[in-house]
Amino acid sequence: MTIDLGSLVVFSVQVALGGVLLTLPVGVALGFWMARTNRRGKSIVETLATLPLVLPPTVVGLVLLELFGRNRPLGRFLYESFGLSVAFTWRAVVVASAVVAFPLLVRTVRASFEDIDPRLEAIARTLGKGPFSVFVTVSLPLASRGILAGFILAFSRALGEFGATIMVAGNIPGETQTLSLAIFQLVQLGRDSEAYRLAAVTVLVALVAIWLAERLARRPRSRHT
Amino acid sequence: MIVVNVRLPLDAFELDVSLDLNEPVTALFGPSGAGKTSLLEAIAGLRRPAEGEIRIDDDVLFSSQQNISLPPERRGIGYVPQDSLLFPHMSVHRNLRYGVRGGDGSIPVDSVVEALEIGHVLERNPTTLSGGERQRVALGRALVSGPRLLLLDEPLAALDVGLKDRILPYLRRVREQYGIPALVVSHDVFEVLTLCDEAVILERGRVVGRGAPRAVLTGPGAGGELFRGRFENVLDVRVVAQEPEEGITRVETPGGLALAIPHRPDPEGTRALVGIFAEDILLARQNPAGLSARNVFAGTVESIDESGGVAMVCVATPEPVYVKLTHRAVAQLGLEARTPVHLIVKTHSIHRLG
Repeated sequence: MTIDLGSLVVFSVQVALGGVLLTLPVGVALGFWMARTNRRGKSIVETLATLPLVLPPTVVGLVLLELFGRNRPLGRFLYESFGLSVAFTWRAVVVASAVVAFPLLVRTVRASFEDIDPRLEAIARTLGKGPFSVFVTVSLPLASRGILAGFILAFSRALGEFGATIMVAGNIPGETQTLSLAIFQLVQLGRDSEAYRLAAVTVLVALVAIWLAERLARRPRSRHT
Repeated sequence: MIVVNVRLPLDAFELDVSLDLNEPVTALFGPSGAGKTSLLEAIAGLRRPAEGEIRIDDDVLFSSQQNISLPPERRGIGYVPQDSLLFPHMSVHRNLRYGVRGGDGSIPVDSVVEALEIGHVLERNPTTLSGGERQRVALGRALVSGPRLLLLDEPLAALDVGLKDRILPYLRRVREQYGIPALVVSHDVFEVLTLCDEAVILERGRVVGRGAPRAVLTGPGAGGELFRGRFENVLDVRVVAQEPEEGITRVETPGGLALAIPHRPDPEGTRALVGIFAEDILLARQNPAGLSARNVFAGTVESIDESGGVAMVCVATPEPVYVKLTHRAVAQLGLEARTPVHLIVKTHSIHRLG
């Protein structure tokens, strides 16, 4: 097995980023809903949204395999209707990243919406704006830092994803292999020094992500309350 | 006419109010926790009453019978909460512009900025404003949305006396300039007397008194509100003459009560509010001679309220004036209704409020 470091890094970042971006709108909407609603169904949704965080990733992978396998209902539907194979392709890597990272995104987003005084939204309504307009002009900007933080956290988790990915996407070099899967394989092959090199690269990618996030989040804003 | 007829269960009791408001500015007065803020929220559409009706003229905003409940954005009601609630992620200018609707009835931002004198803070972040500035911006933001009714929740609360002196004139100016009906929540006697045409007293969710502010606040339902804290007589005056060499400015109330107040170089005809604390006024049975005080005026005792720890004597001069005395002083002077008396006020006991 030869390692093409460049494409490995690009692929890993791409699938992690893709997975989180894919779930971002749903995560923000769900986080907002959970921060504001008192409905009865809330705790069920809450539990479902947390499940991937507490289950062993291999179990999550198994469930995903059950859903997206070529002979399973969802997998067959996607293949027959759109010609999309998911299991054991790069798409499965994206799906696995998205699912394991989702709870972290939702929890952080929810906390940042809960930090906003709901009366600010109420005042905006009295000034003539409908619920959606208030969400876009008041809630979203005020939660933007929290959403960014949730995004970074979810991205980091997706980047390090291993268990679910190997179950549903396998470890196919050049196709579904990410940095963490490659490290695992190298160690198994006894090529420890190469594994360490990849580990160092992974650390570097994570650091760059955090640095970028800090830069984006650094907005001049004075607080005196 | 604004009709509010609602029943709304709260934590400790039920808000059960039936009111029709005809005066330009009505005060909602009462102890904290009486349900005043909840009532405002119900009118603004931020809380849904269990049943009842809320309408402005023939426009139904809420009716449990007709199953109508307009969302807040369609009620056209400007709400200024106690803590301002300016949007922290917008400049003052963007806060003001937030409610711009365009079309008829809206008030231009420039006009509001001028009336409230907030031009110098437009580019600032709301978190850097003083309490008084913040309240003015919140009031301005509500005005710009062109409301049919203004709800002000304790516009002067949480501000110290110094700031109070500065915000009241703006409320009066808004009242005169835009003529928007308003419901003002307050537990400040001074504020109610100065700003409002009618006062409604709310206690544990029910209306327990209603009428002209002066009458209501001294009436039985007020629960001794006059005795809480320092009571300040507030008089609306006009400058009639300047005597700088004497260090005084002569002013007169619409009723014809003439006062000498500390000099300030305003042109004749300038309107001002002056305050005299009830405990800063001396009361005498005879016309005193050889006094240094410049303000001595005759009147007759109208009423004496002895229900509190001190006695509050209302004296009819061209304007009713409240004097705070001990119960003992009332007895020694033999005061009762219609006793002729003289009031003595030092020039420097009269301070300008705006």
